[in-house]
Amino acid sequence: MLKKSMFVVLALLLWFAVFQFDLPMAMATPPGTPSKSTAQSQLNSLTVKSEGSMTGYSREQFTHWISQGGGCDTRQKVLQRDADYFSGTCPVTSGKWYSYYDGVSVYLPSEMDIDHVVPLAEAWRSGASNWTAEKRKDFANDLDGPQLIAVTASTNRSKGDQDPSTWQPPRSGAHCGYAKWWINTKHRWNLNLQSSEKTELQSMLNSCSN
Amino acid sequence: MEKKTSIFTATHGVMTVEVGVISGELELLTTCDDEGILTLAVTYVGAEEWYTLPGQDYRLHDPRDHEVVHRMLATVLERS
Repeated sequence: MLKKSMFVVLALLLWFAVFQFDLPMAMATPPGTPSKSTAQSQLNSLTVKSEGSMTGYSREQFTHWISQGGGCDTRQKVLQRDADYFSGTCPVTSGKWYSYYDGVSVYLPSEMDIDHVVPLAEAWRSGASNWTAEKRKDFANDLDGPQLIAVTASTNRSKGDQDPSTWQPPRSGAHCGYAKWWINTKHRWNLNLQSSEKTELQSMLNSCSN
Repeated sequence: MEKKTSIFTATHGVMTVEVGVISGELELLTTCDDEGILTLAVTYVGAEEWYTLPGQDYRLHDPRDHEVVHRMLATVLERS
């Protein structure tokens, strides 16, 4: 009897252990994620400026998602890159994604959005209104830096066009990475930032260990 | 067909169907037809595309209520 109940307890423990390991599957960080010290110097070098107007803005000013060859577009490329595993090649039909912003695991690609870490509307009022259409297209489909990331559609919608002074990822463990990606993208694309945005980025960056 | 517009600042943004939350200097457009059918749209001031506010099938029993509904909506959205 004792043996049997011990076996049950052991089985339960094992089950919990497996279940626990399943939850925090961290995704690989997107390309170009800077170290804390690099992000700090990049933040220091950004120009603080009040936001420009939205005159002339539309999402069509930032052509996306463009073809990346082999029948894949930018969205499909990021879905593949950020998946723990997936099946189907453009379109991806199923798989597993860990949504970094809210820590939710998702198995259907239709529930995932590709977030522009620095939103298109935010880019427009931070300097992109003066760019050529070609440059805006490159920005909107930037696979070289940490500007695109697969997250749940619900977090992407609640973020919308907001900067870190009004929206930060609901999972506090995501704040360090999010600040690094935001800073790096604004730095690479030479976009301005507001002082309230800078203050929040600094405090998020302070939460990084390295 | 009666149209009313208001410009307001949404610091923490307004939820839209097409692009999620939008923020900053926004313009609200409400349209009410003779039947009282109400449609709601919002844009960035000066931008080239409009977005839909969530919800649908809004119908006023009297189109003369359009004015007060528009003003209430603009006030609530500004606060958010």
